Amino acid sequence: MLLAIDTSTPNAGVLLWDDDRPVYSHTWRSAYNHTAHLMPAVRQALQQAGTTPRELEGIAVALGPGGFSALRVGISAAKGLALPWGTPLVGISTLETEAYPYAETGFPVCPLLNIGRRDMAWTIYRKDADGWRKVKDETITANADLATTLPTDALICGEGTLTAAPLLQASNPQSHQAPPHSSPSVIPAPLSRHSRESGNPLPNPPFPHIIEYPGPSLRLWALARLASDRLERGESDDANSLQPLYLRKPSITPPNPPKRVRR
Amino acid sequence: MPPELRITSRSADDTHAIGRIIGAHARPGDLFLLTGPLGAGKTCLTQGIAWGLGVKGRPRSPTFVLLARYQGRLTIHHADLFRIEGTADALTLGLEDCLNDDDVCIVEWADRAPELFVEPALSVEMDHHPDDNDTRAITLRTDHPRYQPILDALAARES
Repeated sequence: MLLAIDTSTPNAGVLLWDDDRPVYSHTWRSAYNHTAHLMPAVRQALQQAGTTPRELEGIAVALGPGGFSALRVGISAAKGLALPWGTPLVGISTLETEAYPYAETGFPVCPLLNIGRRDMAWTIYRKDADGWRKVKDETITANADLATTLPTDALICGEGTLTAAPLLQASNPQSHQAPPHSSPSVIPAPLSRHSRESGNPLPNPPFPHIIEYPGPSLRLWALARLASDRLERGESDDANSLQPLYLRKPSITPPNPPKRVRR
Repeated sequence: MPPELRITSRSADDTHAIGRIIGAHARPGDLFLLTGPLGAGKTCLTQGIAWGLGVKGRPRSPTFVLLARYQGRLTIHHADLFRIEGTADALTLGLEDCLNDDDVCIVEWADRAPELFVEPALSVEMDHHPDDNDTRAITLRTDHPRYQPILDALAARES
């Protein structure tokens, strides 16, 4: 059995995965209280499944990007559960877990996550002939610049859309020039593979296509699914060195002195 | 020239009252940067702001825990950078969790890591009065209009 822990955002979750499917899933709103909420939730999950930390075959943890303190709580807990018994530990990018539920659409998928200070982290994943993969480096964009920065040919998804969708819809500069049916619209989630197989293209780029946020349980499922696949391939991470994905550039170095202007 | 308001507090109660006015007018996303020497009343002012936001109890300076959180009408993050050595050190605090559109953030000793705060802020500089032990000179500065209602309310109190 695999235990998946996600404390990337104010929404936290714990899931147990057995026999290639979820057997227990619980998400809750933790705001700033992940420290107090996480371990009781893990205990509850293990009790429910009649198992113990020692018996776990793997531990999956969401690496962020997300909340600074929240991520530390989840990753520390995952390490603490993995180290004593040498349980294999797998860290997965939370952006990937937000994007993965839409892999089968075949469209580029652009997951968004709030990282505080009115900034958004995002990237692009895609499933094509080469498989499921990230096709763009993770990027940080100020919320105010999202409307002019995000791709217009991708499905935009993830918890960050709660912040971004109103901004995109209000300030997409082209929207007023377009017919109403192609203005930025909220596509119900999850967009099924049917739309691709039936040959329905996305409605008229270049407008953002935002997937309504379906809550934290989908990405929790994706975390377990992706981690389970990695474990099956014999891959795992080093519990001593696994780090959160904060993405912020000068995370521990002081800012550079102002550049001199040469004349 | 950014708006600047100079006011005077004649006692700790007075500083609390000034804080309450700031708290009463505080809005989601506000950032208050407090500076001034030890004993200038930064924590006292923070208590007033918290009470003005409806917090019960008596906030204390998080000098050792570095970061405290109170719940009033809004969530308040209270940081104290006194023990912080420079911006790099401050970055390990997780202030990005505190600087958002929903909460209020109050930072004591903000001048310990001035490069850290790029958000629109209300700076509050507090200092002892050279002649009077109980009196404090308080200077408020901001480069953002969002804090104008607070400055107006404090100016009205002075007059």
